[in-house]
Amino acid sequence: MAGAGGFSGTPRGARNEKTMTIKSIIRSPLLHFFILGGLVFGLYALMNPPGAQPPRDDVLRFSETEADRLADAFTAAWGRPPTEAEARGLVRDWAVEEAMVREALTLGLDQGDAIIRNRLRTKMEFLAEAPAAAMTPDDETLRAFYDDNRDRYARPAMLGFAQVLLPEDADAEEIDALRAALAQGADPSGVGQATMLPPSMDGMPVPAIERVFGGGFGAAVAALPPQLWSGPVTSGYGRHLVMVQTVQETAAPALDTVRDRVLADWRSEQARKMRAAYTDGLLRRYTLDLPGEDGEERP
Amino acid sequence: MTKRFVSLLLSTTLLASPLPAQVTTDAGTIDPAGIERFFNQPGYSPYAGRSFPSRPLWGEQHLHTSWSPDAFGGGTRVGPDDALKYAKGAEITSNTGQQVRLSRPYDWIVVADHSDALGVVASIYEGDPAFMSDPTLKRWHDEMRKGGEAATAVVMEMITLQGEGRIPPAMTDTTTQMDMWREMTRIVESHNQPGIFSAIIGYEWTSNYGGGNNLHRNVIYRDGKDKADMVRPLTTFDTELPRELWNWMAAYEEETGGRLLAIPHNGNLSNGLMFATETPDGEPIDAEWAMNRARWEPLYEVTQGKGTSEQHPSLAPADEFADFEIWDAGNLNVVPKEPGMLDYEYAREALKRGLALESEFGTNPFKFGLVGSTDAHTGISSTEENNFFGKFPASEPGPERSTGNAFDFDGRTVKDWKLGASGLTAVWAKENTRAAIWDAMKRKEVYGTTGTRPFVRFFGGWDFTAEDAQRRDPATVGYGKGVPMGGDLPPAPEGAAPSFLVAALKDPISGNLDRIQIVKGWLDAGGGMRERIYDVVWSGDRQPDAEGKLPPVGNTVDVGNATWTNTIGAPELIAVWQDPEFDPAQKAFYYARVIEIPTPRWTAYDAAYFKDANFSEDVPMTVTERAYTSPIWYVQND
Repeated sequence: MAGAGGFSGTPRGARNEKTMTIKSIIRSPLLHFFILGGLVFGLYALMNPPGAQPPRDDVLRFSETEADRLADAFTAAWGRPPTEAEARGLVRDWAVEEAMVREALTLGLDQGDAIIRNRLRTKMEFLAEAPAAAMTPDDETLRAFYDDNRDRYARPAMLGFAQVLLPEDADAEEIDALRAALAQGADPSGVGQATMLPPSMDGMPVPAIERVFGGGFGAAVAALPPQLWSGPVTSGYGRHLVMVQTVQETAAPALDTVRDRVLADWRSEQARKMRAAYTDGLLRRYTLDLPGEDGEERP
Repeated sequence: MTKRFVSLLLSTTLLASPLPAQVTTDAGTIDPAGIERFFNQPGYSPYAGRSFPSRPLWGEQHLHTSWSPDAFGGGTRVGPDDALKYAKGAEITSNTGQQVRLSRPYDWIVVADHSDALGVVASIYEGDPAFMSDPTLKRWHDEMRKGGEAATAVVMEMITLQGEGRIPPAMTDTTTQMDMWREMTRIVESHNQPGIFSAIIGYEWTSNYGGGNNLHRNVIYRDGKDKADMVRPLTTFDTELPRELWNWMAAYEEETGGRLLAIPHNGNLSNGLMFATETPDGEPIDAEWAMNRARWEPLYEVTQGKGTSEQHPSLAPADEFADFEIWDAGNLNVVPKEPGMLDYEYAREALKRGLALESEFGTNPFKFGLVGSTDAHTGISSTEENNFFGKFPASEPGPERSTGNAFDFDGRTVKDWKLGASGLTAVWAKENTRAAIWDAMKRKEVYGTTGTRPFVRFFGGWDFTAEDAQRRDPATVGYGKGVPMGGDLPPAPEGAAPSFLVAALKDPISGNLDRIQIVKGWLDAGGGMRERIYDVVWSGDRQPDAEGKLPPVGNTVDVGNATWTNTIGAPELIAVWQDPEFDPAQKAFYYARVIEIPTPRWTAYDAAYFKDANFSEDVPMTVTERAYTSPIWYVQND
């Protein structure tokens, strides 16, 4: 259920000067009628106070800022200002939303709504970690972070190898014979069980090898002696004879070549820390009152 | 032994074709074999000059995180940053506090959250002039820029002021909200590593026209942050009509010079609207509509967590594999279906109807390729039966999901156990970049699976022969003699029938393959929509019965222990198949369906793992995973 609960998107796009159309709507007779209508109702409400209730605010004040916001939001999506008809639609929609929200608040519909509460919580969490996105560490900090997490940026060890898939029922004698033939130069792509698996792989990281042959295969191949037909090694497809041809050990890149990634990771770690610090600080300001307990307790 | 060994060595040697006769001319005797050496002869190295991809890139284009309102409403706390780390293979903590990791990383992913406004803080640190006139906000901006403890102090000060009701007025002004979109694209950008992992920009446009009628689309960007940020994503508050989404896409492309495509999903929950021949607001579709749909929506998400929409069993009684993870109780709000709605909800019906509409409008509006994705709302993309983390935090692993409800609208419910651990998309892109992946999507050279990762090739042409299926590298001959999945057959030679080269290699950690089928849909002489499914290659020595029906492959699943063995089925299958009933006067499409042997469904893993799980008798405990390729179309020669 993707987004079954709709939500209003009011992001600010690039500022745009083309807000004249909507501003002209503000001066349009229709809107005057609309606002005048609202004023009449507002006035009516003021003249006829319903019992002891406080007077309701029945005026929908459509400010110029509001007009700008609607026009900007429209322009940001469509790349042009709204036409007069569209602007009228936007204003009407704004008025409907505003009126509905007010009525809903009056009825207390915002209370105890899990969606709204979660939304507010998310906003707070976002607020807590947002500054991290703009933080820029000095070189020393970034280097220290890189050193602490060196493994994450290291290029994995790479293996190049050739393989021959064995027929399912090949016995030890047959396998030995095949291994001997390969050692004497038989073409690996012409022997063994026909398969669409690649006959050789050049310089692939172990995890990438395992994505083709299945878990454990890369590690098993990595343990084989180089330049020798060895095995059988078992993959997700059966047993293989394998010759390791090239081995490149793992290597750590210079910080400068991965600086952007390290910076992004550092920021995301800062965000995590800030959210945790924020949550802790917040809880320190509150006292948790549990039922059936004598004293009050810090959460 | 020696004889056996020789036959083993020869087991893949191609049958040599007889040499054509020699021809004698004034210049001497021409030996055709000698000439052919210099024409159309591939180089010695089979890999040199190869311009096609050698393995598909795996990923999905439909993952929600805590930034989607309904996801966080359901308790999701995994945001886009963690979701992307997880997709790249990192272990993360799920929304219910469980450690989770993919069996194998993805090659690419689209986090398809809704764009929305969440707060103002980012505008402050970005130094938005609207805020900088307030001295407190200006000071906060400067402190935040310093970072570290200074920034944390700002946050604490905000909380304090907020508690005392003294927050600067500009901050609570609802008219100045930041654009979450720019924050989203920043995070996605930070995970994009061309050549290794493509973090693709996208969002979901979530139209529930008329109340729960699913017309959702994922909008997929070819571009980076620079272009994506230039235009505000469309929301359903702007419009709920797909044709207006297409207008917006056109406006985006014009404004930025970028490229977009959209992928609809869950026709099964659209109550007859997804592939209808009139628009949701009741207008009959026309030539322009058909052109726009074909232009902007080259793909369809055929399988995902909320059911599989390939074909409904009632529409294809002859298809023994159609009854698969079907959700047909109603729409998203579980509003029940009326008769006739099913005809406009499933991919195969739409592919057939598209052929008819093409005759009417000159464009086939439903000429789409097939992909799978999860639509998970947990920030965790999980499609493996033994590693399924549900759709919402409430359906993360735990005994509760054996009896819980995934949907509950006024007592109209859908159970959690109906959720499928599905699906994934394989993209035949030449390199792992956003642009290459997007381009492959646009040309439909993609296939969808129900969550496993089999390797599937599918080519169509006019002269594939049985020998082509003897080769170990089907792509070389496939691209050489035909078109790949998603393409149109070249113009038909006189009197020929199309032939197809199809090959599949099992997922190394999933079940063996049962069979490969080719699904044909066509318009008969009277314009009637027809379909037929052909078993083209299968494991073992099974023989079709008198009616042509192939016996089932069997079942090795031990439900109690949630295990199976690969003692049945085949690790790989390859065949060339020619349409035995081809009529050049009739439009047609063909796609391949690769069926795995039965393996335990996630429900079986749960029942074995959770002592307190309490699945009812009617819960399926096995699953036959499958792959659906994009079709190849026969477009009539006019």
